[in-house]
Amino acid sequence: MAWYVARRVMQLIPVFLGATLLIYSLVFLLPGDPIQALGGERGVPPAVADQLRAQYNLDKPFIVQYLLYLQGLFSFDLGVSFSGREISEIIASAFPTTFQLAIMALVIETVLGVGVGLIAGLRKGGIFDATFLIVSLLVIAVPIFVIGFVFQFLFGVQLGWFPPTVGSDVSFYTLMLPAIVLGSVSFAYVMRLTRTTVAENLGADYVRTATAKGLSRRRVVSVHVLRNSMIPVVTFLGVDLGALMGGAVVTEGIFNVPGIGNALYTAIKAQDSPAVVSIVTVLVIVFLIANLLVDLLYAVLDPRIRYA
Amino acid sequence: MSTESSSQFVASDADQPLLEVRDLEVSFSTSSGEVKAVKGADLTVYPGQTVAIVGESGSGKSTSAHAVIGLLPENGSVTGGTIKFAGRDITHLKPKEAEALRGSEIGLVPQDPMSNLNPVWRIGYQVKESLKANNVKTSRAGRQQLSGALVSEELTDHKDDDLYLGSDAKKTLIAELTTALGQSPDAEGKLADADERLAVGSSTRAEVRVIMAELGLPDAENRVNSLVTGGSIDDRVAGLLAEAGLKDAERRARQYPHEFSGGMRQRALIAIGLAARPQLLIADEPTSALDVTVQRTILDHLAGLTSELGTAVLFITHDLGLAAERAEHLIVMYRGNVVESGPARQILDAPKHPYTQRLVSSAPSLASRRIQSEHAAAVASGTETGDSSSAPADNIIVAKDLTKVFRLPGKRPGSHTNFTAVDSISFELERGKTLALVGESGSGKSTAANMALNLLEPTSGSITFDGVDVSTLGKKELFKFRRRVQPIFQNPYGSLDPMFSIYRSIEEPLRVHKVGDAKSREARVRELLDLVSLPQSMMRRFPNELSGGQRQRVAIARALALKPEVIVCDEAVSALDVLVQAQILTLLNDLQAEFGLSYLFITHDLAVVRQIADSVCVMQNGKIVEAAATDEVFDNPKQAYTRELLAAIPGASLSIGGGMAS
Repeated sequence: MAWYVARRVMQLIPVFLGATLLIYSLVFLLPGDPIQALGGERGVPPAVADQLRAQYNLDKPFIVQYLLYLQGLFSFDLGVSFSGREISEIIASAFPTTFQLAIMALVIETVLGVGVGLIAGLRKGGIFDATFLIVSLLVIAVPIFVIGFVFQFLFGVQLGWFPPTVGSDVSFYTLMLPAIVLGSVSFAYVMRLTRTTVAENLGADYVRTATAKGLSRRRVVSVHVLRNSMIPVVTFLGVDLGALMGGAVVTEGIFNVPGIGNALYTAIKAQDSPAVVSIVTVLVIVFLIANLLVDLLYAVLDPRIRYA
Repeated sequence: MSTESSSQFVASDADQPLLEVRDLEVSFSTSSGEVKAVKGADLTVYPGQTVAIVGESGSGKSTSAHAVIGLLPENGSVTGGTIKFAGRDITHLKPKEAEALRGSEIGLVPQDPMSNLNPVWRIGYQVKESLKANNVKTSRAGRQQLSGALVSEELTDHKDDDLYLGSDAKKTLIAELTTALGQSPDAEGKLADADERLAVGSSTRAEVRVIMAELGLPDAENRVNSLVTGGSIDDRVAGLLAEAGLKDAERRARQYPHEFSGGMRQRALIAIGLAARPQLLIADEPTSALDVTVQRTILDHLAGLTSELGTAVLFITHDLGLAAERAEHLIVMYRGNVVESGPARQILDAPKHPYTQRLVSSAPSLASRRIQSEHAAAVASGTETGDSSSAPADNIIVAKDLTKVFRLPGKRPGSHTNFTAVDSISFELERGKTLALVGESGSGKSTAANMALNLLEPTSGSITFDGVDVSTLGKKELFKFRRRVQPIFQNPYGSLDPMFSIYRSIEEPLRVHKVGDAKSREARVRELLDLVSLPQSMMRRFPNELSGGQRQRVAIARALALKPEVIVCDEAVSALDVLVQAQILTLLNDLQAEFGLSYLFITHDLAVVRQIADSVCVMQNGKIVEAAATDEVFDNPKQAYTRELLAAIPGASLSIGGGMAS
């Protein structure tokens, strides 16, 4: 087990290097001169531009720039963005919001998805099942920005249950509406996945054996059907958590959530390559850690998986 | 219906049937309408009796049993007749009533040990569940509550048996025995004996008293009476597993199903089925998925256990020999009807119904002989394979010192252990003959077959095909080799691509090897379907529409498509019902006579070997322990292991198929 974790952590190294190099080169290849862009319409005087280039190492060859960047990373210095803010500060201020939003969305989609999926799976072919199959189909088919705007208009503006935008006032209450929207698509997937695996496991031989022991229906379902059905669901949730942590650019945009997605969007628009690379790097690490946790959770749910 | 008789009352009355099924009808509602699976079945089981239902798959035998215990699938229902258990009508019970009945009154040992244990829970937990669900008390307090008779200390009769030895009590008793024996010369042996005989959670107070007195514990009676006061529920779980024949039960209970072999899992399932001491145990093909030797030990154990406990057993099997050996009373089912029932011996000796007659005559057993075809009869005087044969035999496959070592990952990172699956075996397959490799699972026989097919590279040793060492074959030559050697695998459900029509499955090898054009290929497929006695119309259908026997015929047709010289049959008939098995063996035999095919036949079933093979290699732990002509092995087995395998053939002691016996 310890060896497995150590190996997985070591595997992070090449993924980390590859991801940063890829992001760095993509940003480097973007058309346009970021320094000139800083000056806007008036342009930047040649002397100032040269000085800025030297400050951000833009006058050096690509690979040197990349290595200098790595050097900074390993000394926990993410550098300064073109706008002059410490990048670590940008991340530190945006990440907690995204984290809170992601966890709220995850809880919503898990509780509702597993609950509804279980009932639908147990009553496969019934009215409840059919209704939620249609609902999930709708949620999957409609783009998230449509759901976002509709919910914002309906619950934020018309009914006034929740504030339509978040802004600087980040709280459990203000994040509720964006969390519901963010979790809605995954809810549909979790529900369908749970429904399918529950229906499948209901017919498993060991479920029949459990019934033959004289267990109550309730116990058979909770102990023998639900736990076995959770294995694929947990995989999905783990990957989804990584994606949610990456900041939902669209949802954060609609509700004006000051999260990492918004920060990334701003940085890309400004061609702020140091900021883009740093933020993406942090996201890659978060994603990898989320995946590692899922793999470990797997062993708890399914003892057949042995880590060697 | 009768309300005056409680189950306890009837249980003590051997004249009253425990289970009485009359005119049972069970229907399944499917997309193509109502399907009647059972059409008026009658069966009666008396307390303590073992009754077997025999029939092929689809005969309704399992469905009848599931109707009794209320485990029909959702689309199935009892549409007629009555089921009475201990005098009470249980045909249409409410869910709660059925729950109360299951486990505590009627237990089940299911068919496939691999899929019937939940993979994510420890074995012990799954046994414990059945104790808890049925409110079985294991502690003294619980026992006393259960039966007022236990309140009295001086009780010495069998009622006392309800108190089990706890793990703490065992430790104390052993410690006391150690001090008592002191330095006496036989102390070590006696302590080991005590450790083995005192089964936690299973040995009762009376038994412990006897054992301890025998071994010389001073004042054994009083010590045992004060120490053995019932165990914890975990002790009882270990005891149940030990009773089912699982060694080292306390540790095993903490393991997961995937750490168990098939035989061990089946023992755990037996422990579960008997945990709450039901009066009736339904054993649904409990050992069909296991090796013959394992099958025998498990069934022996089950029989011993149930007769000790006085449990009645409803035994379901497709194997007539097995049924006759294990049950006093047989019920033969065919297409949802009970066609015959009576004492086992009577049905074997004088089967009345035509179906039973067919079943009796095709039962594979020691008595059966090599299936004779006209061709085989003509060359019966031919040479026999064997090391001593001086005549240069025409061997198509010669394996020499074949060894396969698998590298398994070790416990620590980077380390590995070697596992020798096949250990330096040599055999020769004579052209036009059948060589059988026989052994239990894990004996290396399938690994040997895969090497013969050149699907697996030997670690050392060589395989010569028609005079050429197959390891020297280049890519093109290997392709040609594949055409000459074809496999048929065990599971006809898994070896056909469900997305391919039957036509496409059979045609594929022809297409891969670019034989003929579309038209001639179609003609060939038709011809092949004729050969394996399937209607040509079948080629437009898909595997899921076919029965197991039909699928295996398709697999044979596919193997024959390229006109191979050798066919490797890896357990080709093991998954099939007895009658179908007999048909497929006859078919293989006729094809051999017609085309001069050579078979390498891999099986665990010696009864099958006798019907098809010319010579036999018996494998154990990767080695060939005995190799000789088939008759030689059967009439005069040299190795103890071979004799053990022979004795394990179901019905070996009975002369089934008497008409064919010599």
